[in-house]
Amino acid sequence: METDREKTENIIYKNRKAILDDWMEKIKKLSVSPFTERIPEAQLMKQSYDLLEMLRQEISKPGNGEIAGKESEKLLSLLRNIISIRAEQNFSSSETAAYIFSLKDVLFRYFRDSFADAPGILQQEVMRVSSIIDRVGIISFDIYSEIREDIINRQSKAIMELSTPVIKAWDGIVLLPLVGIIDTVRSQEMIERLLQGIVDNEARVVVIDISGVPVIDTKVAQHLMKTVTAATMLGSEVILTGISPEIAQTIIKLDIDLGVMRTRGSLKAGIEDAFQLCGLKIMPKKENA
Amino acid sequence: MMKEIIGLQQQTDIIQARKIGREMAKTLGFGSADQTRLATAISEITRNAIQYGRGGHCAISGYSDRNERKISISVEDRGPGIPDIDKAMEDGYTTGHGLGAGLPGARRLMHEFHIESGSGGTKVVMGMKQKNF
Repeated sequence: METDREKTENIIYKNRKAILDDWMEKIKKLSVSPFTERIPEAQLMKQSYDLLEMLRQEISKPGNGEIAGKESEKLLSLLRNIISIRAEQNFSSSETAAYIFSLKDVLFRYFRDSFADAPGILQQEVMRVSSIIDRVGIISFDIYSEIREDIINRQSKAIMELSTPVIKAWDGIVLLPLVGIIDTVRSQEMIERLLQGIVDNEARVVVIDISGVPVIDTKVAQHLMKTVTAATMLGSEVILTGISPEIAQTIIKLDIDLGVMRTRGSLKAGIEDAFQLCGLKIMPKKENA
Repeated sequence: MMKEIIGLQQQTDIIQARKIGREMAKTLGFGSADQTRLATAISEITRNAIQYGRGGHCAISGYSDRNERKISISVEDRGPGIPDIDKAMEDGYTTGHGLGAGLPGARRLMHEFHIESGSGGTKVVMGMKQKNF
């Protein structure tokens, strides 16, 4: 005697080609810019076929539809695989979820036809399968956000590397313009790059410009001081420039002693100072008399 | 009356909190020096909540009427609490590796500052206000 579970599984198995075709039709109509414009149709077909197979196995399992344990590992790794591709291809989270949920309508149409004479079983099986697909949908959503977060972290790391340039301003003078937020990770990066820059350029003077740093709190000040100490140890003079009146007031209120540092209001004044420290001077060009 | 609540879990929440604070201060008509002071104070206190207080939340509210404009910040964490508040409010005192200037500094940056702490966590309420003419 076939159990209801086995019957359901059989319906999916027998109709798998038709179900897949119907599902593909539905997927194509899902979003404004169709899936198939962004994924090769063959790839989408393969992903969906594999997913349907895994789901069928999941549906055949006894239990309360909990997606866990050894048997579900293959399903989870397949999901991770499919969704990481989607996330990289800039599919939105709702598109990714809609892709999974769209299978429900398709499946239930086949259940309705097959269980036409047993409404009780139909209802029970629809509920059961529905809850399994819901769980898969929720898991997909989690995987999706995890992967997106990963992408964002990677990108912010890339931006951080871009945004801490050490520039040679003149022989023996390097410039470190800081823009944006300075946190612990970034300050580490900053110190590393600056020290390398000092060595590479045999810099006597370092000009650190903080015009682009919106908030100087105690943490940022501490990072700056560490940077200055490190540069001083290599024998460079550090000039801190770009302190706005607002920031100066804040630093005083915080009672942070930047007196140990050589500071200048503008980058211009800082550069002038740096030249002086190197024994150079900026002069107007003499016109030939 | 404006009100925003920001959850404090990670470093980026600090940036979010002070950005919202700064924008609200700007909307209410505070000058750029006050905006910077406020953002810095929020930065100090929210960082404490994340670093020492295992996270929590930050509520920023503000209003402006005929007489005055005011912005209030309330930061609550779920940490172990500060055993000796008087000591924590002293300049240069730190249990971590900071400068020990955060709490006393934030108090000087703001017009109102109130802190209470127990085994269930720490709550800091601070405000900045100005007469409207």
